[in-house]
Amino acid sequence: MAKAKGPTKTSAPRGRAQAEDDRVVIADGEPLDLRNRTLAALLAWLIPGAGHFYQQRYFKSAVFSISVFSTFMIGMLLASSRCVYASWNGTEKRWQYALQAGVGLPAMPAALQAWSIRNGNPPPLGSFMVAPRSATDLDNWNRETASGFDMGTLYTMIAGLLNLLVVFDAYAGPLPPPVPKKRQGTGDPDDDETDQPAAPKKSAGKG
Amino acid sequence: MVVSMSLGYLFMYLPLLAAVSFVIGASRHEQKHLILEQTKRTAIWVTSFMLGIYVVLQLVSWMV
Repeated sequence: MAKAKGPTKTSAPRGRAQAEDDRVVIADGEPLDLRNRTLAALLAWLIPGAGHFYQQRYFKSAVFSISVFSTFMIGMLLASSRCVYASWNGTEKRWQYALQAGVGLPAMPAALQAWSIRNGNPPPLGSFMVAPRSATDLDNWNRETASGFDMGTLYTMIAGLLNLLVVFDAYAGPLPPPVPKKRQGTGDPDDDETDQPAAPKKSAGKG
Repeated sequence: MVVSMSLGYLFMYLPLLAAVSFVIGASRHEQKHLILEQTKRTAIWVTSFMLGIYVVLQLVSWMV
């Protein structure tokens, strides 16, 4: 993405014009208003697709929402809803949850359950997204779901990672597509996406 | 020895491929037709990469 290089608005206050410049980027050759990009990124993390919906990018909202949610749900189904839980103790250090939490709210019940158990309270959501109480429990889950537990863990981790791309897209707009080598160095002014002034050349001589 | 797997696993690959391709495609472009084009390219690239790994594993299994 590149910052928009629109006409200078002399009538508007400079601070307002700067704020508008910050929220408008060029994507596929057209200006794209990201609105409040921090809020959009937060919404995109909490509910996949919600950030883009807020930005009125409805097609992308639907694509991201369906892709991330379906991946997460397939993972949960494969593992009988047992593969998403938070645990960091002698039984298991569940590092995978750090990636699963990338999907936002759908993975948050696991954190709530773990927090409640850590404080000595019963889990408020019953056995949903609760960590195994012992290594035997974990072995049983693996046996009962065959490879579903591992596959479910993989799917939910990938869903979380995909949502990080979604969050980035909500905050900063589309990533620049890769330019093939044969098109690099053609001197095409359209390829130059920087609007920074050229850095001053260093002096060749010493002192 | 032949590298083999259940066909069921291949069906698990398809939704993952679709989701990854769509998200990558949509995170690269803003216009619908460009998103779909990038999605198609990504899906082909990923599948080709996986097939390449499969061929390498197959060759290694023949040599062992």
